[in-house]
Amino acid sequence: MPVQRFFDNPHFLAYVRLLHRLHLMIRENADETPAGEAFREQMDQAAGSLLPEEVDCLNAISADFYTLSGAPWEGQPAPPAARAELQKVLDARDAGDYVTALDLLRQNQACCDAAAMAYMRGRIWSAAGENEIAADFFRRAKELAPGNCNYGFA
Amino acid sequence: MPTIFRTMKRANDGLRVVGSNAKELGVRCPPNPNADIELDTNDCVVLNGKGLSVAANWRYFLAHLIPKRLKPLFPGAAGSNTLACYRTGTGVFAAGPLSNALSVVLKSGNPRAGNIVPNQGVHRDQFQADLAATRNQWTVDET
Repeated sequence: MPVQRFFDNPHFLAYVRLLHRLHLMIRENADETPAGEAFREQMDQAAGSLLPEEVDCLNAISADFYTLSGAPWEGQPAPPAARAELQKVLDARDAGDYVTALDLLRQNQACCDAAAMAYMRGRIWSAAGENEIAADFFRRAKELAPGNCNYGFA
Repeated sequence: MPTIFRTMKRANDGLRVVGSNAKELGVRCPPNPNADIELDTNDCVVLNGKGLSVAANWRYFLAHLIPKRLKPLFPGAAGSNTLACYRTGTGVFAAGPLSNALSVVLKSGNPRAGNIVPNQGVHRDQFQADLAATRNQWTVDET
């Protein structure tokens, strides 16, 4: 099966966009409303016939979306071994394997500060063509590290 | 009877809400655009595997169906906190009878998800009544 099966599936993409919008509603405390209920029902329809692996991936992405707000975790500067792992993230992204890139980032979360993590997630979503999601992660990176000029020009 | 999970709204009595809207113990029928089943010209349920969606565990549902309060157990949970995860049955998750009138069938290509369907092509009101009759069999299980 091609490595991009998730991101090639229109149901997967439709769901991930709605999931991002749901997280915006959650962030604004607007989801526990009739409008929020209607929105979640719309997500039922978008879910279509997703594969179990796609469901697991989407649920992990939902956890990633929670990092777009709230207190950041205490990350550590990446040790040399972790840098090698982070290079694998970039390699997967460049190969178009966005699922693996996002997975590897999660596995190495403890080795990376929250701003860098948000920035890298933004780069992956940007490469996947999901610019609205990418922009949200870039915004978060800038919010967490306002002095970092790199994040400002993402 | 297979163990099955479904997230549903909780009624004031702590039991699940019976009805034909989303997240209730009942199916959405045509002309609802999100209908769970298809009906023939006599309003009888078409036996095509469609029905009330269930899963082998609540963790197998999509994030928007898992109440947010379960985030400590399931970090992606993004569902309404008005929902609860209900379980019924004690057996292995597999296709099989749920009652004299209902069965569980597995979804194609997804061995951990299924639908509750009628055993026969009954009228939709009968199907809703059969589903409602299971109300006391469901207990909250969010472990």
